[in-house]
Amino acid sequence: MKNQLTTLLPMLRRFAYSLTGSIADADDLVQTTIEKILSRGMPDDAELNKWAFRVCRNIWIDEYRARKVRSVAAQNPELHQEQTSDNDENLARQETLNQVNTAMQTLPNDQRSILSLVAVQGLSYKEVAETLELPLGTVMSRLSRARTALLKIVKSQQGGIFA
Amino acid sequence: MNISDQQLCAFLDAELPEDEMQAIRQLLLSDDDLAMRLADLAQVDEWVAAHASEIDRHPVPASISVLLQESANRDNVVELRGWRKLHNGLSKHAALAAGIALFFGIGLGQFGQQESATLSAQLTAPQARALDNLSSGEQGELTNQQTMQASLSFRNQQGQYCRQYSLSDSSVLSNSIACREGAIWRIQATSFSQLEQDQNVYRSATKPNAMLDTLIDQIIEGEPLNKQQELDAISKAWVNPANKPGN
Repeated sequence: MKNQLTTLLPMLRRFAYSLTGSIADADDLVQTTIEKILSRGMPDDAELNKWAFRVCRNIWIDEYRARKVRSVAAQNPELHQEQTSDNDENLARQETLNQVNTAMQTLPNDQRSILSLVAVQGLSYKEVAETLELPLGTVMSRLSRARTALLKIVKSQQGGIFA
Repeated sequence: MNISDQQLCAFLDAELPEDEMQAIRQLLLSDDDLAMRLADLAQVDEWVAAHASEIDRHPVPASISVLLQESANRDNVVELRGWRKLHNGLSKHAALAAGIALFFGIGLGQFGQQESATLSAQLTAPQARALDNLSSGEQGELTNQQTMQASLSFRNQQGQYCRQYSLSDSSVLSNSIACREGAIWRIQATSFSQLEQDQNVYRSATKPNAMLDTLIDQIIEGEPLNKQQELDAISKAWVNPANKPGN
């Protein structure tokens, strides 16, 4: 199982980062997820990748969000620290990523999870529904709301900056 | 024909029945607004994927790597020798310098064999330079808000110089032992602890420094270097003594 988790680790980190918006919190979340999976195992009929995403998402909702271990993404310095390049293109890209990070934090939990699983992990709607134990129709509607909401937020941020 | 955002999203993900997919493809040929809406939605996915991949630029914390690789006998701590007192005093200063730490994960790499994409066996160039030049007890600033403090120097049974040091940033404190192999400092073992920002307490009963102590106990030859011996080694760029084979 450790080998499988090692293979899954990059995807799990991206998922966790999408949820938390903080590198440190994401790695904390991934570590807790791995510890839980290793210590408690998983159902025989479960697929490890789906199980891991589910455990990760549940831990995030149950523990990290409630505890607010660290600052929210808007106050999180990690992304801003990257803005050391003189390259305008890199700066613009980093600014957009900061805006996306902020926008992600405003999405409801399930919308963020669904958007990450589809856009980042490339899961099908059926796989997302199975992973998050949601009806397929709910996945579709929440994904649509997540995309349109995030688009609106980022565009409004860009409008505010460049207007 | 009005296409809802939900339909357009499903089209983007190729999750619609083929007849609906085809209908939207036809519309896209003539409806610029629809094409722009689709482009916007696709852009969202690109943003989200790019945002998520930012974490790829940050190395996996070694605490996670260790968790996936650790040996079963992680709590196997043996009795220490007389130099422990000196070592503990120095380690305490290192811990204080890093603030109140929370031990949540600890592992000991397989001696001389631990190597992975994330738990590098070799120091970075700035780290190596700092370890070359810092005296024990001295602290130096590295890049990325990272601080190194050297805490102990000794020779191992192969005659190589070895050093114990800590690295800390805003959230993680690591304690490592590295030994000089030719011109390279090679990490032999690392323990990790995490700074808890909202609870000024230590958690977990594991004994990370005790595990490093155990390793030092196993590999040290004689006593740790005293101040003058260490300064001599620094001035000679930690060139290993020539009278030992295999260095």
